[in-house]
Amino acid sequence: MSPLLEVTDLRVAFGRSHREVVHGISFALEPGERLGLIGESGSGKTVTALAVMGLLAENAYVSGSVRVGGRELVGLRDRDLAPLRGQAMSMVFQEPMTALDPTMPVGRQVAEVLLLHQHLGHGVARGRVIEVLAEVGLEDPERVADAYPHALSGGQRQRVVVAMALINRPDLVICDEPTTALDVTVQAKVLNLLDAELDAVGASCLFISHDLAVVSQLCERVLVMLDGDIVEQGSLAQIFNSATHPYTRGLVATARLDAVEPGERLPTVEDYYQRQVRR
Amino acid sequence: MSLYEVSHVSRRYGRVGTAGSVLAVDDVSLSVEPGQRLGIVGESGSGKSTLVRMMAALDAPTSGEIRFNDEVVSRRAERDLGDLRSSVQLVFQDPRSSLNPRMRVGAIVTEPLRSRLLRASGQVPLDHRARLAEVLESVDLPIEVADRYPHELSGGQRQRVAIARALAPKPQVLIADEPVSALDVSVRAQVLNLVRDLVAAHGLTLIMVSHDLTVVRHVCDSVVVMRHGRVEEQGPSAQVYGEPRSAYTRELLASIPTFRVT
Amino acid sequence: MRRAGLWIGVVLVAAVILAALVSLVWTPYNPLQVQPTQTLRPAGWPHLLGTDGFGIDILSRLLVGARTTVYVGVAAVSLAALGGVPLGVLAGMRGGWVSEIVLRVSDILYAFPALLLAILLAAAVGASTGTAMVAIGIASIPAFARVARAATLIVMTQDYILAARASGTSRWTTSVRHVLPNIAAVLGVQASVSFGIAILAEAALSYLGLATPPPTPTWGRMLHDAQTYIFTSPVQALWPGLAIALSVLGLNLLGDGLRDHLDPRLREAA
Repeated sequence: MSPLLEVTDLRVAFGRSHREVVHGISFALEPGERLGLIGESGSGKTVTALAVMGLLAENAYVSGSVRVGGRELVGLRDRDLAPLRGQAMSMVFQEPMTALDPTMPVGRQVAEVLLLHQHLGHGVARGRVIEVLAEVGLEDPERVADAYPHALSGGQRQRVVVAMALINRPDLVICDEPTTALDVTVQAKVLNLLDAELDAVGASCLFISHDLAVVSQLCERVLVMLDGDIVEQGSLAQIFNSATHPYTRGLVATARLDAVEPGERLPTVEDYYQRQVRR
Repeated sequence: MSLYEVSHVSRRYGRVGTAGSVLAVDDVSLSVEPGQRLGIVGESGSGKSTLVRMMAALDAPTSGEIRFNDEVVSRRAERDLGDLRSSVQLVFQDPRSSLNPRMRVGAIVTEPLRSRLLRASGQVPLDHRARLAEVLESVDLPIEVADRYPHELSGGQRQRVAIARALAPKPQVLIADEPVSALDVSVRAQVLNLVRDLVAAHGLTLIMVSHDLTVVRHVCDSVVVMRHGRVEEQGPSAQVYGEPRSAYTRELLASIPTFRVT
Repeated sequence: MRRAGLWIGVVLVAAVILAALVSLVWTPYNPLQVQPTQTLRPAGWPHLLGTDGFGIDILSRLLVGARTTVYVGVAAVSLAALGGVPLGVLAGMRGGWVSEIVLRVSDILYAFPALLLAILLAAAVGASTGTAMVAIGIASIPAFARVARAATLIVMTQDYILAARASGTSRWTTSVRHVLPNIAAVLGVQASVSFGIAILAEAALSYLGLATPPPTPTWGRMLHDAQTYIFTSPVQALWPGLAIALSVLGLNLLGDGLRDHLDPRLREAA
């Protein structure tokens, strides 16, 4: 089977000085697979996600290849990319408050994603929206559909964002730190929801996070990104037991807070890996 | 004698009966002994931040009373707060917001030393340059960062600057409001180790607010679990963590993602 | 693209200031010297932009007019900033009834056009450059107060304000050390926009004879004088009109460019 997403030698540079922040990374994602992309802020993980979606700003220079379902996306005009977004691939953002338009009821925003790609009557669309809102575990979906984002809690908003991402049953869902802005108990629920919904839709997922513990709730395989390079990739078990790169070993150690006796010194990444040049 | 005595404190925002009225803290009582390391755990809206802000006299309770060193500090005029202001320092969640982007690190760290209120209290180091060098060293930052602006530093370094500023006036109490939740997991351990070491080295009393029970368990010897403005459970860390009595505490514990391999 | 706007703005504004400075030491002709034999000359040599109905060299009048424009603009904007910024910062920091009073007072001032103020002042003490400065300055106070208040409100949500309070920093020190530097960019933008408005207002007032009295050349008065020849020699109105339009455009471009350039949040996002 050919991979659903195939990224080859992807490079991204910004601005007049062409400062490169992603240095030729390659990876592939099989249909139905969930791949975690781990890295700290500034490692280039979000830039990678935006490059796949073709959502980078105009001052970004992208080279290499991004293929979704065999189709090359790098170099495609925005006009040709737009039909794919929300349909073949969609994205769940970190901050649900800014991912939603504050001036529009959330039901209409979900319907818009649906109507962009399918020709449905408004009544049918609304029915489908209510259905999906119920699917993502929102109680009283009729009321939620008519509510504005500020009237909802953080967890409810993120559920709406998940509904928007999944309503067209995309093949690929990119989640960029989807639970970082949420409370722990809400995070646990949203992770469970994502788990179930991705299965139900049969979508592949590229899950981006700085937190290995969060990624391990959802993904089977992990990419580790450091300063714009992928330094390690492998199954969770491989990463956990036999990581080869010292940075990965450091990440594994810091992610296991519960394995350290209370009051003991916590292991840090620096115990394993010293960065050559400091930014 | 307790260092802090919080009795039946409530804080309401907005007037009773109006639409926006929220009871953020609802009849909370607790005490903090000198040298204690108290963790206050809860989710957003639990009132934990409001509570510590009142303990730092940055907000006033609508009812109840807060005593610090046996003096009532709630609803007191700013100029009479010298003792509290010089003894209690804060570290905030997001160093991007807690450090003035237009000030250099050196000026940020020595700001408390230049406060008239603190100088009047007579307990503040007078040699600012010496103290700056001292606190930067104690948070493992090179002296050169004094001439940098916050945006030139990494997230972990910025939080160290915030901690250095808190230590500068030699406080007795350190209040840390979610000190690691805005940081990458990879930097979290560093900052927690630092807080733990500094608290031990300077004999500080620590009050740490967090949504993460595992983080609290590491640094604190006792825990208060808050929910909807009320205290849900309190006790020694080992007990709250090991044998939680409240269903909510158990839910909180179960929700914390742990690195698992299936 | 945005950068180009900023640089065009800088060049235009610099040109106006340069013209004003040059006029202090040199003008091609005496801007007050009436030459009845030289009236309404077209652009060319020796009068680069021609002469007006009195036979005065237009370029010389434009240069000296720039001086009046810069004087009035700088004075009016300074007055407005000195009055408006402290009020706005105070309102933003204190909130409650202080904020209410500031907002109401600025509403009242807002409802009081600069023109009316200038007429009143001119009636009371006579029309002069000074009355124009004061009238435009006072009329621009509310804009500064509002912008300063809005920007202060945003700064007040930042934790460094709380941190300063927690270490006993006084309100006054906080406003100088933390609030002003962080709203400076916004105020700079407001200043350049207000400067543009002040230029327009000054031109209008001197056109109406409510500002600098003749014979001192101003752009507004030049427009007024050109009105007589609007059908016979329309180019007379072109030069002062162009000068006003380009300097206002320059200040607006500068303001927009500054906003994009100075705001560190926008820069980080780019």
